[in-house]
Parts: sequence; C-alpha cells; structure tokens
Amino acid sequence: MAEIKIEKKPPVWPWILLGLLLIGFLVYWFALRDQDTNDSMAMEETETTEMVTTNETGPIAEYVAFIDNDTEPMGLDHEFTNEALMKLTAATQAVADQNNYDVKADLDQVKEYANKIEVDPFETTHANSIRKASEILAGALHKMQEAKFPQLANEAQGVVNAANKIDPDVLTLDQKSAVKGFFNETASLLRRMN
Amino acid sequence: MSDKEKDLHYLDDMSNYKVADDYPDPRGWEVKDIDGRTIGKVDGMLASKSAERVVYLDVEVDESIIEKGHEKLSTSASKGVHEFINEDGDTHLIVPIGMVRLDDENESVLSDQITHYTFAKANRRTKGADFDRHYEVELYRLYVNDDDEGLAVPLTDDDDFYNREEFIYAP
Repeated sequence: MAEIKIEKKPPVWPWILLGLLLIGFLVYWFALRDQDTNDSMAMEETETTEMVTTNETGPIAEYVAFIDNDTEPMGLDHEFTNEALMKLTAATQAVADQNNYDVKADLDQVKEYANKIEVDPFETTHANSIRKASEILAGALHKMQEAKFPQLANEAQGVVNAANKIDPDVLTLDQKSAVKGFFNETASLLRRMN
Repeated sequence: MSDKEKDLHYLDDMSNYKVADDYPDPRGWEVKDIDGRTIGKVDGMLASKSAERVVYLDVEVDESIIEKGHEKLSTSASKGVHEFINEDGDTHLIVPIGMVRLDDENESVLSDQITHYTFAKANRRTKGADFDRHYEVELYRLYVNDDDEGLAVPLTDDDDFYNREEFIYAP
C-alpha cells in the first residue's frame, strides 16, 4: 500500500511582492543616497560660493557692520568719524586688492586727513578734512567701479554725490546727516563690490 | 469528461500542486510485478484534486510487456473477452496507487498483487491520452481479477470510486 498526498504549492506572489518591495527599497535607497550626495555637494558648493560672495570677515564686512550698527543719527563724533574713515580706507584697500587695483596713493592721503581729525578733536576745520578724505575715497571707488564693476555705476555715482554733499565750510556737527549719508553710500557700494 | 467535471489530473499538469512534504515522489522509479520482474517505469502520476492525493501511477511499460501483450491478445480476442487492440505507441498503463508499495530505499514500485501476465493483458494507451471511467473500471477489474461481467464493480462515475481500498492507503 502506498499513499502520496499532494498539496498546493505555496503562492509565489508574496515572494514576487517581497522582491518588488526589496527592489523598490533599493532603488529608493540608492536614489536617496545619490540625492543626499548631490545635495551635500550642492550645499558645499553653495557654502563655498557664499564664502566667496559674502565674505563675512575682513575689512569690508567690518566696515559695513560698523556703519550698519551705528543707528543713532546724532551719535556722530570725531572718534567715530576717524574710525569710520580708517575702516573705509581698509575696506577700499581690500576691494582694490581683490581686483588688483592700485589705490595706495589715494588711501595714504585719506589716512593723513583721518589722522588730522583724531589729533585735534577741537579743530573747527574737520569738515574740510572729512570732505577731502571723502572726495578722495569716492574718487578712488568710482575709478575702481569704472574699471572693475561697470554694473555699479549708479551706486558709485551715489557715493560721489554723497561726498559732494559734505560742505567743507560747515561744522561737522551741523551736517551729521551728510557725513553719515556718505558712509552709508560707501557701505552699500562696498557690499555690492565684495 | 469535460474539464469542468474533471477531477483527475496529471500532477505534471497541475502547476499549482506538488507532492506533499514527507511523501515520496516515485516518478522515474522502476515498477516491478508480483515476481519482482521489471515491467516499466513510473512516467507520471494522476491525482484527484478533490481528494488531494495521487490515485494512479502512470507507467510506461517495457518492451517485454508489449511483446507479451501481442501474444495474449490473440488468445483473449478469440474468446471475445477483451475487445481491444494495443497498437504501436500504446505504451502506457495506469496502476491504482493502493495496489503497490513504494520501496524508497531502492526507488522501486512493487506490485504485490499484479502478475506480469496481467500487466501484459491490460489495455494500454498512448502517453498522456485521456481516458474515461469505463477504462478505469476495466483495468481495475483486470487487476483485482474480477471476472464477473461488470457486476462486482459497477461502471459508475460516483465520487466513491477512489475510496476503494485499491486507491487509498490502508495500513
């Protein structure tokens, strides 16, 4: 006597489904990994680009921050003006260095005028020195704009105009807004040039 | 028998069925008669789908059976008992699973009840040929040596046919 039972084969579809799920998971995993890699690469590139474009440290950023942080319209004094001029000089030099542009002679003159303000705070001709320094800086920035940043013509002209608004015959304390306007215009231009 | 009614299938054709675990699969094994003489080999198995078990072995017979059959045919035909003629290509027999033993160790199918002579007398078919209940009963009667003209085993299509002891395991 013999007996041979038969039985239904286990259904294949769960294995097919499992296989499809596995394939789907692998595809998703690989795609996600690639995307992550691309994202991180893109992020690195962005970060690198941002570092180049924003350059949050250095003389330019320092000057811009110095001007932006001064929110008191009546806070202008000789010390502030001197420091602003020195930082602006350094920032202008930095932009010139970045673009291989020679402004050393102009900036040396600016430093001399800035020192005059610092040496004798009671001198009444400070406005003249500020005007002179501003003119030289505006001229230097304008020339650099024409040579290296043709798209910033309006901004550079704004700096020149702001410098011209400083009246050498009026006490600095009486034309704070004109002096601050100049500093603000230069900060704006330098931010674009950076 | 229409496909709708058909309960008996070659296991090879039942793509979603297989031999159950822990049961032997004798396909390819030698089939031996009551005296231990090889009469052929198992070429397939016929299973009842409703009973989920094998009920027949499909045996491809040896040349010795075919030749012997020709000798017997003339004698039997002259008596008018077996009105059939095995033709060339009729090389297959079905054997009820309950009438054999499976020798796992030697991979042999042993028929303890059927003689070489009986196998030779059987009405054979071509490989894979369809058959009806009449053919099953005729072979059954031959194997169990039922000479009564169809009374002991009535021709029936009822479902109890495969419940006879020759088709089931009875330890």
